[in-house]
Amino acid sequence: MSAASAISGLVLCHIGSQQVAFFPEEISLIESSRGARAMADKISAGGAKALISVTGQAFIVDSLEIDSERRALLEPPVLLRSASSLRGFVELGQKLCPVYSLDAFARFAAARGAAK
Amino acid sequence: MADVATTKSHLVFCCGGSWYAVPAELAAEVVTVPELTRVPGAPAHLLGVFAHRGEVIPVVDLPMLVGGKPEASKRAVLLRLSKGTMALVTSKVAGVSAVEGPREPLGQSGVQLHLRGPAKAASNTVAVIEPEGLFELLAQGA
Repeated sequence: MSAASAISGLVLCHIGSQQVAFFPEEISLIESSRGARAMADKISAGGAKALISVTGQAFIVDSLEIDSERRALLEPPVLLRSASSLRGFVELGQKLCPVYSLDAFARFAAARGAAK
Repeated sequence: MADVATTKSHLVFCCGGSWYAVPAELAAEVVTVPELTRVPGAPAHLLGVFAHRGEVIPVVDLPMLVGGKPEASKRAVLLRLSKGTMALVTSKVAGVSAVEGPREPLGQSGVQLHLRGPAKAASNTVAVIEPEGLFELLAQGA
């Protein structure tokens, strides 16, 4: 069985029907689609958001929420360990949500042309 | 000379219209797969992951690996291997059976190198999966 570590505090993001999560300490800024800059705790609901990593990489999501629950971070399976941006998974209800390094994931998404 | 063997205790299952066999001691269980989480950037044959007893299980579509049509079933054979765990989608499980016949690799490279046969089991022509080799191949991002 895979090891799990406890974590507390995630930024849960929705992109279409997919959900991904990032560690808040890896986000330096959250910018609304209207261009007004705001920190995570001041963001109001509605509109796309750009997450800016500490190195300036941007990743745009449809919506986000701050999750302060204490959760188990499950190890990625061996078959997915070549994905260097994947930190693990958390269980949200009956489903898993992947947790990524924002910087690496934003680079990956930009390289694949997946960033909006 | 062909590599011919008769061994007992293989789990025989169907997916994508073809029959496969894996050593029964590596098949931990047959599970009903819940709604999967797709993993961005994962290869197409890796259908997604689900949580099972505190572990993240990747679900692999074997027919897609060998160039066939995707298997739409919600059942999977969970394999516990020395280097990790994976679940192979299946539409039907024939049960545990002896496997007889050739064990030649079905191809010179890739996935086919880890499928052996054509063997016979439970009245079906089966490809015997060499799970550890297949797993290593997939872990390399194949």
